[in-house]
Amino acid sequence: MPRIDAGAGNQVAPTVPPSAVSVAELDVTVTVRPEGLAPDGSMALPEDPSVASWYRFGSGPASESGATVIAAHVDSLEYDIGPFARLVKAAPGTIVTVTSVDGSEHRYTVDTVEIADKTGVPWDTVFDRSGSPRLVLITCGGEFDYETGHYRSNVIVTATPLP
Amino acid sequence: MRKILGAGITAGALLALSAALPATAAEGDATLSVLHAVPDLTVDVYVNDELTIDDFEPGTLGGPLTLAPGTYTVAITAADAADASDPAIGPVDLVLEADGNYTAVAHLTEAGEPTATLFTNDVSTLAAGEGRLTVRHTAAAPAVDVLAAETPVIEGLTNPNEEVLTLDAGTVSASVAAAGTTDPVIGPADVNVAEGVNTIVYAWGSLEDDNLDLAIQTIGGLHSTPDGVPAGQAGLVATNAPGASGALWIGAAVLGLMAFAVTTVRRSNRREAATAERADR
Repeated sequence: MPRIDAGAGNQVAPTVPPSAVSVAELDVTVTVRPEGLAPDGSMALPEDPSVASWYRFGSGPASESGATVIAAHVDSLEYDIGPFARLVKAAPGTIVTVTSVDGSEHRYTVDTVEIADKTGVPWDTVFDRSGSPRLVLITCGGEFDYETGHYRSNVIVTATPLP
Repeated sequence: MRKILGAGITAGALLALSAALPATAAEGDATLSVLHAVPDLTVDVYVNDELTIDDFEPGTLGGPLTLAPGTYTVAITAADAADASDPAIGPVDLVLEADGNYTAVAHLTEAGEPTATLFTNDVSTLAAGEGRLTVRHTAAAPAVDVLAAETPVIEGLTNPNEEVLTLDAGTVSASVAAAGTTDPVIGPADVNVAEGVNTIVYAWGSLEDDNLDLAIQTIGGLHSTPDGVPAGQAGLVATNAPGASGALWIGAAVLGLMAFAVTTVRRSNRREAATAERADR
């Protein structure tokens, strides 16, 4: 049976927030801001598509497990098309660099790029805090629903840490 | 994973499903952790007469074990005992219900006698941004208050009882004082009440022997999840955009205007909704 010292050190370590994401190959550079939920229960995102949102209640780049989820608007009426619009072109093996607020750099390699219908995305899997550390970048894409003013799909890029 | 989902299943339904599933190995299994909180006494722990934890040191947390629901007999002996026949604590019967999450604590009574208490851990799902703080009095000490940043948040807690708080996630400076006082007998210590986690703090040891201390156990995975990521509003990169194949500037301009009109309508609806909400208050 596993045993641990239950002293005051046996606490969940605070998460170190990411501050920037870049994908040199796709000329993508965004600053990252910690965000929680929007009033409607979705992930809160800055209006400006060149500023991404990190889900601050989930894992971070230095966490021992789980998905670091960073999302940004693909476009905006005010700011035009954003850098994450190019994520859909990421090929497997593309290098993604995440910088944390403490200055540390975390490099990832893209595994998959999915265009997932929004009605079928298992968000508890996307925001999973267990399992091996990974990076999940999210934006919108696919068809646009002109009646609701929303894209019908999410573009979901999953990347694994490089040693 | 996404591929095996039926198209008709919504993310909401999936969330409800995962919340209903037990976090344990087999369906219905109970989860049991064991905390040793009797100072200066190394012990062996027998479960149903079987040696389960050998040479268990004070301040140590064992487990979690996943066990089929049922009644388990726990005996705690001196570390050099040959079997469970002459326990220092118990034997006690622990009734573990299906899907229950428990911590059995070997500790001192208020009067300083070794005993064992089975606590049920609250593993219900927390809202985004919230953490759960459970405080358990397992020390040879009278009633206490628990102070967060010098303000009492729990008052008159007695051995062997607990209090459960739901707080905005974050670090609190916690201390324990005799009930009705503010002079700490334990702490202050920083406790990270982490989001989606039940952070369980035990006051243990003996006031008389001057060895009161904190022990901490955390149970994670109680978080909820955003139900979507609405990450676009203009349709400028839509695959069904009128200009998507022809790449006509006029098409793009018309598209932009359409999107603008749609958004303007949505914004004014939102304003009306906000006004209605205010009127309700």
